[in-house]
Amino acid sequence: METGVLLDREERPLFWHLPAGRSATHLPDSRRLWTEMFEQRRLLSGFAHSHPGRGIPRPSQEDLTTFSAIERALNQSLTWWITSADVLLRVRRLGPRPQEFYSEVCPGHAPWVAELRRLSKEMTCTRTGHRM
Amino acid sequence: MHQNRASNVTIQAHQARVNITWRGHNGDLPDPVTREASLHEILQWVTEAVQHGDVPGIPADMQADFRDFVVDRFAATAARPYHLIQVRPKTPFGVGT
Repeated sequence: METGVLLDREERPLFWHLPAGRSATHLPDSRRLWTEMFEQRRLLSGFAHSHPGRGIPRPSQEDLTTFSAIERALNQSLTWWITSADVLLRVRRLGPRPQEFYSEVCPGHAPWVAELRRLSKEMTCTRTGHRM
Repeated sequence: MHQNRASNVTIQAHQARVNITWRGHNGDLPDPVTREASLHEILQWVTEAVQHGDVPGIPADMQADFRDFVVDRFAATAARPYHLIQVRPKTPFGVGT
């Protein structure tokens, strides 16, 4: 199940995103997630979400258009991490035009990476102990 | 009918206040819109208003581009006796349902 987490500037989790309706390949539109992003925008460094399977994940067109819309609304350039079961990718804005992003594989040793992968394996989004 | 104190504009039952977040700023369209307005109509009005600096609280931005933004619609409540439409960026990820 795709799962997400908002991270602060020290890469500490601010909000675990496990919405109803998430699936193995999709996190649905969520007003709650936007509200959290806006309210915590001064602490926010970015958002991480999981992709199914192993290997280097690639941002989807849906991912890129969402990255761009959120950055325009916040007036902030954020880091967008995407993790598969074994590789963590970091995506950031490359230029001023919408959807100009670059990506690089990065070490996935932070505790939140393991937790994100663990939550992504769960088939339900309840009783995780995380804020929803 | 409700008199919005902040802008001194009357919002009728068939209308809604439009709230916008853009470039880290937040503000309301000066005039209410019909609550049945389509997403396309709302985004067109909002784009024009922000580009021309017509939204109090949001600096004019000729590059304003509300592509991939969505609206949330809220019915009137006792605390907020008028309908509200909020414009925000979309937030889905992945490859679709």
